[in-house]
Amino acid sequence: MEGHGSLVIDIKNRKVKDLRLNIFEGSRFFEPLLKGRGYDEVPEISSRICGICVIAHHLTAVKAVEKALGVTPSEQTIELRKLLDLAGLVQSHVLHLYFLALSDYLGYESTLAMIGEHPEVVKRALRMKKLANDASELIAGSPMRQATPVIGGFTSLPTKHQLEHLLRRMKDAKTDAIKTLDLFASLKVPEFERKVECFALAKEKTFAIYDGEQIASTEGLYFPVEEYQQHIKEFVVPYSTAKHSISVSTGESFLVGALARINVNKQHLSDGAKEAMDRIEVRFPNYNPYMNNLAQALEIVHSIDQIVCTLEKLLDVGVKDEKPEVKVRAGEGVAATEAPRGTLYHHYKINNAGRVEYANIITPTAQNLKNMEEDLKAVVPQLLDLPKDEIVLNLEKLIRAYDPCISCSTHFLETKFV
Amino acid sequence: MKIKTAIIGLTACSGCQVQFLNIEALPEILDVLDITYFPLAKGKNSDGPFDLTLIEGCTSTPEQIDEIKKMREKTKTLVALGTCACFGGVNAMKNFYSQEKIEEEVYGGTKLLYKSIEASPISNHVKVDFCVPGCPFDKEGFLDALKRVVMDKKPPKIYHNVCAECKLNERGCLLEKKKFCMGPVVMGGCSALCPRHGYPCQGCRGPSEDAKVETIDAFLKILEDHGIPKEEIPRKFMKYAGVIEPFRRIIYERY
Ligand code: SF4
Ligand code: SF4
Repeated sequence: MEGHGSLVIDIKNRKVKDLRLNIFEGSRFFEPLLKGRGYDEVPEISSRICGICVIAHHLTAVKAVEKALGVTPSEQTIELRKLLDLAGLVQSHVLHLYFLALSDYLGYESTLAMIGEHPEVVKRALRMKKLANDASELIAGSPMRQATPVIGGFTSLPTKHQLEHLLRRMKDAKTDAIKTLDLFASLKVPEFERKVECFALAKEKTFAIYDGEQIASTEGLYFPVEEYQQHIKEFVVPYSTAKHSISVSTGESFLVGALARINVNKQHLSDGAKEAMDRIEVRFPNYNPYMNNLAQALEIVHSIDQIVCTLEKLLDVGVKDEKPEVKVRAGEGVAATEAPRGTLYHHYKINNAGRVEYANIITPTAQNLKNMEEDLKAVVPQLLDLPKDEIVLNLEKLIRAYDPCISCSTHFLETKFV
Repeated sequence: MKIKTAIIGLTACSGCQVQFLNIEALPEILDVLDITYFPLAKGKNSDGPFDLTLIEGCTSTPEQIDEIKKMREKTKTLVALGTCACFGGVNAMKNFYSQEKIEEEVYGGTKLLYKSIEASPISNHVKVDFCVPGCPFDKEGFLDALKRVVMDKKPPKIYHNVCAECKLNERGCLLEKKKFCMGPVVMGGCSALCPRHGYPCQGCRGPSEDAKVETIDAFLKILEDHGIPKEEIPRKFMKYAGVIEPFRRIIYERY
């Protein structure tokens, strides 16, 4: 059976001569296809890029188009979007942690195979997923297809009663979030460290996910999202349908995602998440990429706290009946948000008729891919004394810790030593 | 005996595989299905044979066509899961553009080692027993299809359009408010998810049973009377199912 990805490692005298992650997923060419489309179709089409980050793509597109058209959303709209984005983050992290990463550590071939022996773990995963999905369904109409969030606001709003009900369930979910964190804290991750620059969205005193206009890095960069092309350089490698990137200032690969976010913004995690962090005794910044899973678990705790806080705020003021209003004008807009897998950039130029003239999207996977290769190169020599299957398992764990888009996180990955 | 099942992903967003994992009744499904091939979520994957194969995504590389042909030989029942597999989905918009040009735009001058071909629904290459459309597919619709597979019955057929379900929601008609809603020509089965939330139907479930070129003409007339710009129309028809008749003919013959 043909795969979607393969890892080729060329070793000579215990040194890695060459290492390549070949990615040959069917390309989908979104950017050229967006050209000529109406501004209102952009979020819908862009959200079809990735079925795990549907919400992040949708909202980033909304934000970028609004900037291009000069539309300022209301505070209520922003709060509801934050809620939706956090629900999406939790959904994706739960899926990734429980369905893609966990079985590697517990010695099962899949989480589905664990249902007999660990029913409580599988049930917890399904319960958390359902809650996150129910939350996005309430705000967006459906977790997988965003019917309500449009340019300028929402076409339909949740009622007070619905939000109260969600608040109660979210408060209860804290226990599951903590149990998830404890489970991942109990797993033994391989020891490995490689210091790299980490990037994340930043906004004063917040752990930025949806809202924020600056990018910060652990090397001290701090720039407005509009300048992304001056700081991040994307390029094509012939062996991968997904692009690679480097940080312009260092000329090296860099990291985005849960671990990078915590490395950059740890002081702004919720009190609950900070307490949990102290209890499990992890320190950040941390430069072991295998720790990304733990960082995701910590972000779930933070997100649940944040969702509770946002819901309380919304209920406090009450949800007003607002209608989205948009006046079309020509313009250009760049927006970034933190998608589950890392910073996501959407950039559009829109003409007088409200049509897209230029589209550029930089996904987290395109930013992380080169870094993933560099990590793999660095970790291979450390593993050479292990039997071959274990080497492969450790490399797969590393790749899956990164949580790349599906092509490489699936078990299709074939490892070849040459 | 459990049903030996394979789940595979072709060119798509993986949203339909995620939707599969979203099904609340997953534990009960696992009582009926023995999923022996599912690379998205499994480390050990069997070579077959299978009783049931669920395919997400369209084909857009030569290798994928070979892959599903082999799959067809190894499986009793083959299901196209989601709009990409049923109708090509958003991926097939590219068929209306020059492949060279869009490749140049995305990858610049660099020639990739992999070849992209026309995006096509899997039924162009293999016999499909069941089609479960939707972007992503509707969970209820899937469970209904699954029950029929288990009982060895024929696939369900949806005869009504999105409007039929939308009217039950009594939220008023967006088309009457001069919005470009595809509801009249699109297959029902989603409980009018988008119009129910005040967002016009975009056609993600493909053409409805009675959408024929002639009936669509009446719809086009309404759109033109409403002052919808002409170039909007083929774009909307090509978004999810432009390579499927009668949408394909509308795009080529009317515009
Ligand atoms: S039908 Fe839609 S949700 Fe399903 S794989 Fe295709 S683009 Fe994704
Ligand atoms: S809103 Fe759309 S789906 Fe609903 S009745 Fe009107 S045309 Fe049909």
